[in-house]
Amino acid sequence: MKYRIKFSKVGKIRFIGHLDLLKVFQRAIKRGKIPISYSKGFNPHQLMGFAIPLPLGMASVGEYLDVETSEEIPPEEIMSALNNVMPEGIQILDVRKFTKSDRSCAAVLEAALYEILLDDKIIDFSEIIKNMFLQNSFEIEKISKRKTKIEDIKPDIFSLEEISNDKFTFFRTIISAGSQRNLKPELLVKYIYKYMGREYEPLKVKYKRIELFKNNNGEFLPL
Amino acid sequence: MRDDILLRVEKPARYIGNEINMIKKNPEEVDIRFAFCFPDVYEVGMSHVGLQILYYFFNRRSDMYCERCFAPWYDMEEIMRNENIHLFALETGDPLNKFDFLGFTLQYEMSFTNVINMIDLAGIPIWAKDRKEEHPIIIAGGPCAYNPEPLAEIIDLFYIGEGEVSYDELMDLYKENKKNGGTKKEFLEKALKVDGIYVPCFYDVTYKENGEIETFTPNHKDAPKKVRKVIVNDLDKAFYPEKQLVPLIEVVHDRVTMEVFRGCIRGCRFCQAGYVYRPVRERSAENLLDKADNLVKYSGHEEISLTSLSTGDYRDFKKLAGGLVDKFSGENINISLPSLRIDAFSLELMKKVQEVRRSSLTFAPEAGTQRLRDVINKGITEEEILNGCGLAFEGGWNRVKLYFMVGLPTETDDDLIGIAKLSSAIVDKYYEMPKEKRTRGVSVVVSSSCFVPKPFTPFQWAPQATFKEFMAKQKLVKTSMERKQIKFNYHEVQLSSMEGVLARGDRRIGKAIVRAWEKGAKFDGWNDLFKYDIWTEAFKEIGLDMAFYANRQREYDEILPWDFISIGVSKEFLINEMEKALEGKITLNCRSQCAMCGAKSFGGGVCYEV
Repeated sequence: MKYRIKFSKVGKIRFIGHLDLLKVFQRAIKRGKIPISYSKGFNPHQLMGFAIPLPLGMASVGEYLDVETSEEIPPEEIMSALNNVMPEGIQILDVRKFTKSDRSCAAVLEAALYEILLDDKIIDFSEIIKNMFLQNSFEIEKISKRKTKIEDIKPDIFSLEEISNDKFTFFRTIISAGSQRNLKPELLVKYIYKYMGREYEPLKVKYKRIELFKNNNGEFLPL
Repeated sequence: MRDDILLRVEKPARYIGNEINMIKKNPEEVDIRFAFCFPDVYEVGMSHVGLQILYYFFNRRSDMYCERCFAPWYDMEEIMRNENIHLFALETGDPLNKFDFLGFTLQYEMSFTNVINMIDLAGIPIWAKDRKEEHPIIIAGGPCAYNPEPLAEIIDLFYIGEGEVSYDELMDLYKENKKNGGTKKEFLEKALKVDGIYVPCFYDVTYKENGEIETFTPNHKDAPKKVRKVIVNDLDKAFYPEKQLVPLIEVVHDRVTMEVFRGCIRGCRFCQAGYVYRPVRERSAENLLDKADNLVKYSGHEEISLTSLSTGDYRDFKKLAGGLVDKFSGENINISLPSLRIDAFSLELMKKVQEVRRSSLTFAPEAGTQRLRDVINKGITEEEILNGCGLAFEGGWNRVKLYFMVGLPTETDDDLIGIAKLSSAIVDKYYEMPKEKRTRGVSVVVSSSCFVPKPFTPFQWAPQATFKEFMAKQKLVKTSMERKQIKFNYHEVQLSSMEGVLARGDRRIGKAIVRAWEKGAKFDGWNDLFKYDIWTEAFKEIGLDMAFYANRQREYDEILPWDFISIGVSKEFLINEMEKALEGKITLNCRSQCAMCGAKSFGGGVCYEV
């Protein structure tokens, strides 16, 4: 039996990395007495898979993982059992049973929605963005482990909308995520700063992931 | 801790607390705030079973809140010092200087500079004499408290023995004294009457011209001449936690840990733990099996580990191990069995509970020849090792780890070459098997460390090998290794030399430790961070000779810095053991024949087994 679990990771616990989060879930599943299935072989491990790692330090209210159990249990029981044993900051928001057409959350993931707060008040931010999008391409250096290359990230941005308040510049953006194409939100922010001709200071930007999407005939739907 | 700081350090989760089963209390509603301080990094401290026990032991009191604090890593310390942030406890995030007590556990000598560094980072004067009424009281316990003198001018009081015995009485006294508006000094005076407590400021030391101690005398009417360790006689009746803290990040040991017994029947003459924790006291298998349920249930760990100094000596081992396998093997929970003697039963059990392919077998012959193994009273013969390896190879294991020491008393080149010979014999043992069984080849990993004479062992009078001697010895072992299946590692020589100085240090070396810390020493137990030059300079500047502490033959009638402590084992017994060692005579283990060490006086444990 497979289930999809939606959860949030906020507060201090966002300072644990992905592999540690995996362990936190494994132990919570044991404490919650969820009849999890194990892989076969010499070193059995719990059958679970996350949609995509959340970078250390980033908060999220829209994370997903799939788990497989050896027997059927009502989704709301899984939810309450896990919420009773989760460390502070991780909350199970929803659990649903897999439907026939469901594939693993990692496989169907295509985009992610982020809220990004710039510790800075940028005047006419919406105007700047509008002009930015008039360009044909957003070229920026992408540094990976092996090489550095120039990449156009414009096709990875599906929407970008300002939601600023009096003090800070604040925006929401949907960008590509997953195994096919993946854009780190930080690269987008770096590009925006580059476009504005300002210096990007990593510690002055706060990122929060809001939702992960699959593509349903051209429409983004939550996983 | 601020988010922007956490984003700048390696492994920020070391500083956020909120682990599974963390105790939450309102600090306003308790009388005593106690910070359990582990002078090493989070991942090391959180793997320590003593912390797990005492944390819940203290917190079972409603009038007390015990929080935790670990040594911040370099990156965090730098930020804290630059931004004037005081060292804080993980539970509330409150600075340690607001606490009633800082309680340090002294697990190894090389953590002493971290103790000093943590006190300083908390904004508290490091010398006891400089601290005022508003500062916390600093107490320390653990194995290195059996020679507390190196830290005697830094720590206010030492706890000699097992925490479950006297801490309640001590905390009650503190609470009472605080309520009555008593001073810190008044509390320390009252603490003199508590069993197992040593308050160094109430003792004076004088020295002879040759540097040895001339007198060691109490200067307060209530200060006992001898401080006797306190131990729990019946572990089944002692407190044991139902839960344990489960870290949110990977630590050294991620598992449920169950303490099977305390002490050791073996009496290896180099081993401090084998003497200071006497007599052996066991927990019953029923009790442990009962506790295991909750520990697993509340932790979610997928591994249970049994700990003790020699788990194979546990009388109810079959019942315990079998019971754990029955209880948990269906739940994908591994049982890890360290410190086992290898025989048919243990191998069969290990096959049941562990994955054969990944695990390796460990032996600790400690010395390369039977002669030297008799000197150190290591009750294992070459035949036993080879038979054990043979059984293991037949059972599908193909990796063996061997632990040795160099620099043991009476050691000769033959003993060192013997390390290589024994290792080769194990490789040969593998090739004695028929070819079809030797599918994967054999690997033997040999580690050799440098012997450090420790207080309260028969070798406490023996000179430690000098740095140069150690180098020559390790080189000889290394060059004697001939087989390509053997991998040889040796422990950092400088680190062991320094440990040798601190282990048998007296009150005067406290100043050198502080000087080393001032010059940048910390995390000295970490090979790559340890800087020997700092230490040699520090001792030179204070005017102390390191060789006086490490490399000198002491006479039996010399007053040793730790002589005022009684571990229950008599000095006569230790002298007799030293003499027997020189004659190569062994002493049987406690269960075979009582050696009359003196520990029977505690009234429990192996001395009264029927």
